[in-house]
Amino acid sequence: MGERVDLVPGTLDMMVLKAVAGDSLHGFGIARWIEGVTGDRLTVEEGALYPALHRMEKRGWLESEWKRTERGRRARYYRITPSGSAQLDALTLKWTDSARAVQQVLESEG
Amino acid sequence: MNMDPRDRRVREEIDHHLALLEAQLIDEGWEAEAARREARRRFGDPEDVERRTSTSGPRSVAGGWLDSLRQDLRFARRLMTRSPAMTALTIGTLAVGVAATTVVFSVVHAVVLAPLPFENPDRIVHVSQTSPQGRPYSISEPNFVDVEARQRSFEAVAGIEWTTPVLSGLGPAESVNGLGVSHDFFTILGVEFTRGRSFLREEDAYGAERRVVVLSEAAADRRFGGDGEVVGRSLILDGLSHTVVGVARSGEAWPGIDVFTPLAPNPDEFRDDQRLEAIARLRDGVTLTAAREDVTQIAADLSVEYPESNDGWGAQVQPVRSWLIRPELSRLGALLLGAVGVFLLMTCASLSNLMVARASTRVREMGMRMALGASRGRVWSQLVVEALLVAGIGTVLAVVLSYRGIGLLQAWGPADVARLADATIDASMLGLALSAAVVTSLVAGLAPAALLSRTTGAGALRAGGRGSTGSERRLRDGLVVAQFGLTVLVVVGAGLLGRSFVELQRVDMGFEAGGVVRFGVRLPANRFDQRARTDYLERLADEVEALPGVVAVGGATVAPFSAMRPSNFVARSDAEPGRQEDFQPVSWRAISGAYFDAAGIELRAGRVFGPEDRVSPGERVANPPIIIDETLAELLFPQEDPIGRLVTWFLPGGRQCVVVGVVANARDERIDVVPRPRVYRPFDYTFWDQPVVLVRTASDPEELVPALREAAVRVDPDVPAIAPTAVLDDVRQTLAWPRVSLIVLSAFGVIALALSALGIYGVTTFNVARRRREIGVRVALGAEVAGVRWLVLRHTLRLAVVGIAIGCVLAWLGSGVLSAFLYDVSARDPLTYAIVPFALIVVALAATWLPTQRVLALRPSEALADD
Repeated sequence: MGERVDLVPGTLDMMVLKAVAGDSLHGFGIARWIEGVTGDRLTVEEGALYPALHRMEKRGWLESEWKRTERGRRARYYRITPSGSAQLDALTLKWTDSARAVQQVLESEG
Repeated sequence: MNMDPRDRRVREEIDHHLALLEAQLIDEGWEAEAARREARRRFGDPEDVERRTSTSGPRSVAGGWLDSLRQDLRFARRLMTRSPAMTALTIGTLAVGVAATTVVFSVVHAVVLAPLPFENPDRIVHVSQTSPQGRPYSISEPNFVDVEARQRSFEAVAGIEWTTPVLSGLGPAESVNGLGVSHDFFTILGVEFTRGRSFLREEDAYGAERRVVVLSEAAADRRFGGDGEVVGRSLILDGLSHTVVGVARSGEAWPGIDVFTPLAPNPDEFRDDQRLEAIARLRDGVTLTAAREDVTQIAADLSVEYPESNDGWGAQVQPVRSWLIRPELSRLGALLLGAVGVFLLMTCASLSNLMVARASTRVREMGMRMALGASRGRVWSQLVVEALLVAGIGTVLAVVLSYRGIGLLQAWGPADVARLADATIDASMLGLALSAAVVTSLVAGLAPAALLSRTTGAGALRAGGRGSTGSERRLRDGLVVAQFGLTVLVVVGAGLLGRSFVELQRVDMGFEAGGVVRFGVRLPANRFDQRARTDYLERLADEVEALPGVVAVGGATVAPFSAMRPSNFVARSDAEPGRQEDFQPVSWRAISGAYFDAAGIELRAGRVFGPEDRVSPGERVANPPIIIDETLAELLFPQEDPIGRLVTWFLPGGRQCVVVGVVANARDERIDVVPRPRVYRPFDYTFWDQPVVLVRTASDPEELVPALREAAVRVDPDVPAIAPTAVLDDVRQTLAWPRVSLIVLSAFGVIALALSALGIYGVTTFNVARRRREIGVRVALGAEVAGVRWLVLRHTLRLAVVGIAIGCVLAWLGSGVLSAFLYDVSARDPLTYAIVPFALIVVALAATWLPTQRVLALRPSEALADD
């Protein structure tokens, strides 16, 4: 299925936290990571990324620092904090739970 | 520039992001400039992003509202293009349904229902005589004079007589359309005068000295070029000079009339020669019933005073609308309006089906979004925007289609249906149909969500996921049933009218209409007595017969399918009843020359009229010859030879005529009515100043027309040929209304069938898509394809069958309404009632089969792969 679907609202935080859980990334990198992992099926509305990043940083889920990119440009890199990790676990749990519920519903007879 | 370091940081991040995006795009092969623009487009407005990022406070309400609206619109557009077929179906249903409804209503409204263009039309009535058999008749001149003098119910009474005087003295002689009217005619209708005045009472008195004429505004402009003083000028009508006394703005009230002359009714004319129409304006406070009693009493008095002519004759007063708009036309209008209503309902049902199916697929997604924290308002607004977008595009299309459609109908429809050409789209009907459709699509588009949000939280998700709660399913099923039921009504109606129309065209008219041209000639009494008229017709026949291609020429009192249908009464003289009521009513025509050859009516027995039947002026023939048709021969002389037998004309003790011939029945009055028995008389035995001439030609009738006009002028320059027309055109004309109603109902029927097919196709597609997984599992588990298919078909077909059954019962119960419009077809025609349900079942089957087949064709792995 090559169709691109939009991110379900509310899942952006979870995906961003997941994206920076391994290594620190800048905003553009986060967007590309999500697309890459999902085989381009999920598109992030890139403009919506920065408000989310700053919000999560303010809540203490993320921390950021200026770094040089491979090409030598200055970029803001984001990294998950311990509290962010906890939030990611909570969100993941909630998501899989409801996804499972949805799945059950879909498998039942209409 | 004083910038918060935090803001600066955001700006830098955004710039960086854009630069990277741009670089990536260039790598993908975009032009530098295009890449820059594309990056901006994908990212969104940097200013906007920056603002949303840096301010931690709430966003401005207006911006947020607009923003989410923009998002909804974008989303809706994406959805519409994702399922283009479904979207097109929905929009098309709305547009076509609304346009068809509006066009038909507008035409019916303009032709049948529009208010008459008179002042206070509700107070104007039509006064007529009724025969001893109770049939409405025109009124004779002396009876009109007496009714006018004795009545106490009306402000004014006016007689009307159609005339076609020959106008000369202004270029070549030509016949014009005229009315002989009483002096109060214009006052009764409320027609104004642009110049001059109406007739004076003394100008309208029998034997008045001065000859005066009122012109219509259009005629005054055409004849005199609108220059200077028209009033006071002279015209020559039927060879006599008339003075113009006024110009009336009569074009709207009484279109197509050029000249009005005073009626000047003759009180000493035959009392049984009913040739006038009469209209009157009710006095204030007088009811129709009171007026009826008044006039009926006068008629009763007259039948005592003049028993030889008025015995048994009554009178009738009816609203002028009932007279001007034929009752069968009014009923037809009511029928078409009923069809409009049913069709609109059907459209709404079909629209609901599609919208519900559409919205139901969304409910699952909505449920998920709500579970993930989207606000209910957001979800609702999303649905509303979607429904509105569909309704909006449908509305625009509907308006365009309506205006196109009415133009098409006017171009295709019969040219001479009064007021059809003036019909315009009725804005209030368009508005009504549109609101019905838009409200329907909104309600149907939101109904699934409404049912969804009755449950909340996890429950909502569960319900949404299953895609149908009990009430939602009942709603959907009900809509399918309703749609099929209504479609049956429309299609049965169309089928019956179609069968009836076919029968009408198959009618054996008993005469050969092809190759016949008819035209009128006006032989006014001041120049012609009846003998001179017969002579004139003979000279004209000689002249016309000499034209190439002409086979036969004959004269008659009235043309085939003329609005004038003279009638009388006859009885066998050897068994003559004592009262006229017991005489046989007949239609009659006086004929001259080779009429039967020209009309194509076959002689069955005896002979046609010949020179031996001519009478000289003043000569009294003991037994005038008549020819009767087969129906009358069978009625009067069953199993006997009618030739040489005597028939009494008109009244007990009336003249006894001798039957010299029997001819075939000719259905030349109304094609959809079994003809009344017919009597033919020689032309010189009657008084008739405007006979018609029938010419049979071996060549194209249309090509003969110019030669006919010239021939008439050669015989007498003051007697032009009036309105030469191919009789086949008259036949077509009599079928005009049956044809219009057939076209309308067939269009309705075909569209209804198509909408039903599309509606059930949409619903099935939706149902099948929803059960794809289940179907996949069943097939994967080894269920037989046929069994699974039946499982899917069963439900939809059951609904269709229930709908069709209900529709058939309703159509059967309502068949009485239709029977008045059917010719030779029962309103409970078994063929129609067999074919229509069958056709609908086939439609339902096909529309269900296709989407089912598509799912069954999937490999189980595909069916299970995604959801």
